[in-house]
This record gives sequence, structure tokens and C-alpha cells, in this order.
Amino acid sequence: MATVTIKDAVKTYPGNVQALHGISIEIEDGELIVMVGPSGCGKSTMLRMVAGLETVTSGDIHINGEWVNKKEPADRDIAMVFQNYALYPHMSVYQNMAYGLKNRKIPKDEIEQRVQDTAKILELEEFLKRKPKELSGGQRQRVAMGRAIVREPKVFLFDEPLSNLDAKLRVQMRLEIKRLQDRLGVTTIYVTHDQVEAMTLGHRLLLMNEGRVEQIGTPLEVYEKPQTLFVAGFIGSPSMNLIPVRLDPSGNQVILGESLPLPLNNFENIVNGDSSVTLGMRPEHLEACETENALMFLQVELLEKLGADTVVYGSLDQTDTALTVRLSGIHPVDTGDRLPVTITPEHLHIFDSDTGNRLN
Amino acid sequence: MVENRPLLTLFTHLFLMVGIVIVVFPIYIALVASTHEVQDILTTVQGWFGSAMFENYSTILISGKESARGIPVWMMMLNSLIMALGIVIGKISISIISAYAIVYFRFPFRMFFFWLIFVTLMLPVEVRILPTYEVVANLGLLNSYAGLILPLIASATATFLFRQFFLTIPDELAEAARVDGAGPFRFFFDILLPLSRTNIAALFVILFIYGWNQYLWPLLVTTDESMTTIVVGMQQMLYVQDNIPEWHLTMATAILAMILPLTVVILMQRQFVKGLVETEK
Ligand SMILES: Nc1ncnc2c1ncn2[C@@H]1O[C@H](COP(=O)(O)OP(=O)(O)O)[C@@H](O)[C@H]1O
Ligand SMILES: [Mg+2]
Repeated sequence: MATVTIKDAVKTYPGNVQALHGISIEIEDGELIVMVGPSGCGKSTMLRMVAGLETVTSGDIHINGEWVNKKEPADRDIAMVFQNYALYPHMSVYQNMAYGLKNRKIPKDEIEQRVQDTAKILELEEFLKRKPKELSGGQRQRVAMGRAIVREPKVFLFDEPLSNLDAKLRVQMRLEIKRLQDRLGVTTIYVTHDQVEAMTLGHRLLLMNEGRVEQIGTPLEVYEKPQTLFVAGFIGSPSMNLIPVRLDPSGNQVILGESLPLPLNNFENIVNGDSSVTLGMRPEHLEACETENALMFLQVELLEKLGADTVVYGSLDQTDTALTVRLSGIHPVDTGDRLPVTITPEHLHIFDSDTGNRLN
Repeated sequence: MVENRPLLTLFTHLFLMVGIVIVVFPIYIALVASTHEVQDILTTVQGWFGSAMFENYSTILISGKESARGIPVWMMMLNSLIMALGIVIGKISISIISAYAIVYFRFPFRMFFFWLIFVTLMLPVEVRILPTYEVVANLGLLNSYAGLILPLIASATATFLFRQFFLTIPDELAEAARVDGAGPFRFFFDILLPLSRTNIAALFVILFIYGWNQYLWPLLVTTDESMTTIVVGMQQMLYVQDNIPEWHLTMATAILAMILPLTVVILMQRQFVKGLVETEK
């Protein structure tokens, strides 16, 4: 059980590639933090710095209050699950799990006991004698987790552990990881580029982009109040409609394009110098309505009828501003239709177009 | 390639058979000649086995051939075996360790050392033979196993092969081992060495034959007849002055010279092929 504190972590790779520009987060005991962001944003780098596999250019990393910047991975009491599992190919499942314990000079009968217990938790008992290549992808994944669990470390580190699995197995393993983490209560840092995985797993998310923290918050906070344009576009599927608009000085409408006014209020408190802002609306918050209540009209161009939802792609009437709407259930709408839509004001997000910061 | 064309199959098999005949025929002639009395083979090539097999082989194995200074062939074979094994074990140990250093450790001038090793590929024994002789002579290693073996041990080829193999091992494996508390020694012995097993086997076969067949170097550094290797010894049997060439004994020696390398190939054939074709990690 442990806390992890990262303060102003900076990483510069040889060749002056700056991968991280100062990451800070305090992770509580037993918490599951998901670091999420697009590929190449520095998630793995951050995780590997916590693991001790990568040096820290500047900043501090504490595990349970202890400064670990200069410690060897083996001395940090962490366990890591790699994307490609990194199982020792020539060792049996049992040996793979026992290897870390053996190196720590733990007595043989205790190793036996712990491996058996872990195998039971992960339902790997019947595979203990097999080599990794004789296992399916999901089973290998479980062995990789077993190798981490059996060590009873202070912190689990996962680097995209599910991305080599097929979609169905991924959902299943996701639940399993969540259940395990709840049960064992071990502080966990989980890295993924998949926002659905992040939303379902994390107690809190750390959203990263280009080596910087965009936002830290619970899945719902991040969904309801994205603090930056990047987060707004990254979280949610289909992603949020982000439309450049001008704020009318009156504060009760925004102007889209040249002169299309959208009579939206609730913006009284927003002050922005040049009044050019970005309006964010989630597809699932836009609703179809009667013509007389419509805030805007959507020229329907493409439909995805998914059964549970109908996703409508089109452009705003008389403009070429693209808009996506997700209507729940099966909706009688067709390509070429002019669909009246509306949205409640509390579901509007306003961002500064230049800095990307949230304004409301 | 799954093809079913009878004509092609017939053709390829014929081709293979012709190849086999070409390779096997001289060996057959040597084997047959080694079973005849000397006067039977001086003028003609014999087509079928004679009756002097036991006599010929026991003569050269135990007392040796007089015109070749009478060194028993078993001694030559032993010398060759020691030299070949020394070269194999030395080459493999040194090159696997150097490859480990080059791939897994960051030290100053790492690439420089790699290229230095690589460049020695251009300097086989024959090219550097005089300076090497000088060094070995100055060290007082003439007529010793060490003198036979040491100069042939340094191997860029094997280092290079191991390096290429290590580069295919995912970095995460080394990192997982680090997290699991394995230091450099443990990682090498617990993980790298077992994973290199098939590569080692393949190199063993190739290098054993390389070592066994060494001719020029042993010829130079061994003047004492008790140190003669079989390849050198055989050559000495061919040129006899004022005497009839004893082809039957020479042929028997040639057959004996083939036996050990052949045994190694047969015993390690499966591992050898696996080492050459295996990509599974
Ligand atoms: N060993 C390295 N040397 C130089 N640059 C690296 C190295 N590893 C990663 N990078 C760079 O650092 C950035 C972040 O990489 P990474 O942490 O792997 O991203 P992510 O895991 O989020 O996809 C990338 O731009 C990548 O090119
Ligand atoms: Mg990564």
C-alpha cells in the first residue's frame, strides 16, 4: 500500500527530444489512476520513470514518501505489466511468476504458496506447467498480471496491457483488472490511449497531450467539465462538436460563421478579449425537436443506425460547419432531411480558441 | 510451397540424386581404397571393398604410417579434437559475452568497439599469419594447444551473429528482468543464455568443422610430431620420397578424419537447423 507523488517530472531524451514538460500528480493509497492521451504524448515515458526504467531529467518521484529518483526498479517495490507481456519464453508459467520472488531470496515453500494462490485468483492453475507460447493471448495477459500480483508490490504499473487483445477479450479483461484492483487495493497507474478503457477503469484520469497535463479528474468531471479543448475533443465518442463562434456583446447569443446567430444564453459571465471562442456540444446532448423549438437545423448527410443509437452526421443549415448528433434509439430520419435540433444551456461548453482553456 | 507437378518433382529428385552422386562418389572411392592391400590400388581404382580393412585401420590408428614419421592417427585425432573444441568453446564464450556487452550496456566508445570487432572480419588468419606467428612464438606457445587455439578464437562473425540475435529480443524482456530483480549476471545466465541455445548449437557445428579443418595455422605452429593434427598429418602422408605412396593408409586416414565432424553434424542436426531457421521467440 502506498502513495505515489510525482512533482514537475521532466524528461528530455538524448537528441534534445523533450518528451515530458513537467508532470505533477498526487496519487492516493489504493487509487487507480489512468494516464490517457494520444500515442506519443509521453504516457509510457512517465510510467517508465516511475518504474525506474527511465532516468528522471528533473523533478521528483516519491513512492510512499520515499524519494526514489535514483533507485533501481527492483528496489522500488513496484511491478509492471508490459504491453507485449514480456514473459520469459523459455520458462513455464510457474517459473515466470516465481522468478521475481526467487531473485528476492524468498523461501521456496513461500514462493510455492504465493504462486499457487495467485494462480487461483487468476484461474491459471491448470496452465502452471505450460510455456508462454502454448497459451492464448488472454491467458498470457493473465500470466503477466500474475507475475505482477505474486510480488505483492506497493504499486502496479500497467502500460497498455490490453491493446494486443481482441475487442471482446479486452472488455472482459478490463472488468477483471478493475475487480482485481478493487479486491487487492494496490495503488495502480494504468496507461492507455483508449478513452473508453480510461473512463471505465480509472478512479481518476490524468489526461496528457504533448508531454503536458491537460486535466486531472474523475471520469465524470472530465466528461462534464473538460478544462481544455483537447480534453473536450478526446473524451467521448463520437467526439464533441467543436465550432468556432463569436460571442455577441449582449451575452445572449453567439454568432456562427458570418452571421448565423444562435440564441444561446447563460454566457453573461464570460469575458474574452477578442470574443472569438469555440463552442462545444456533445453529440449525445443535442436533441431532435419540433421545428418551432429548434435552435439550429442540421442538413443530414450520413446516418449510422446502431440500434441503441442513431448517429447523424451533417452540416448546419446554410453553412459548411460539420455537426454530429447522437439520438437515442431508432429515429425516423433520412439523408437529405433538415433536422431541427436543440440543446439545454447547461450542456454547452465554451473555450478560448487561442489558449484552449475552458471559459464557462 | 505446395505444388503438385509430377514432372517438376521428378526433375528436382533427379537433380538432387545427381548432386548426391557427385558428392558421395569420391568418398566411396576413398572408403573402398582403404580396405585394399597396397599393391591392389597402385595401378587401378578399385570398385568394390577389399579384405584388408581391419588391418589397414588398426595399423594407422595404433602405430601410424612410417613415412609420416609414424605418429598414430588416434593421437592426431585427439589433437584435432582438442583444437576444434578449444576453438569452438573459446569463440562462443568470447563472442557471446562481447555481444552482450555491445547490445545491453552503454559504455564510452561502444560503437567504436563494435566496428573494431567488425573490421577484423576483413583480417582472417591467413592475412595476419606472420605477425600472429611472431606473437605466439614470443610468448613461447609454439607446439602447445594454447598456441594452436588462442589465435583462432577471436571471432567477429560469431559476435555479429549473437549481436543480431540479441537485438531481436524485445527490450521489455530485459526490463521485466530488471523489475524482477535480476542483475546483469542473472539476466545473462537465466534468460539470455537459455534463449540463445539453438544459436549456440548452430554455431557449435559450424565452428567445430571450421576448427577441425584448420590447416595452415597448425602447420606453422606445430613442429613437434606429437602435436600434429589430422588434417596436417594427412597431407604429410601424401608426399613421400623414394617410396611407394601408401594410398590405402592415406585413404583410411581420410575416412577417419571425416568421422568426428560427421558425428557432430548428425548428433546436432536438429538443433542446427532450428538455430538457422528459428524465428519464434
Ligand atoms: N528512447 C527514446 N529516445 C528518444 N525519444 C523517445 C524515446 N522514447 C520515447 N521517445 C519520444 O518521446 C515521446 C513520448 O513517447 P512515449 O512515452 O512512448 O509515448 P506514449 O507512450 O504516450 O505513446 C515520443 O515523441 C517519442 O518519440
Ligand atoms: Mg506507450
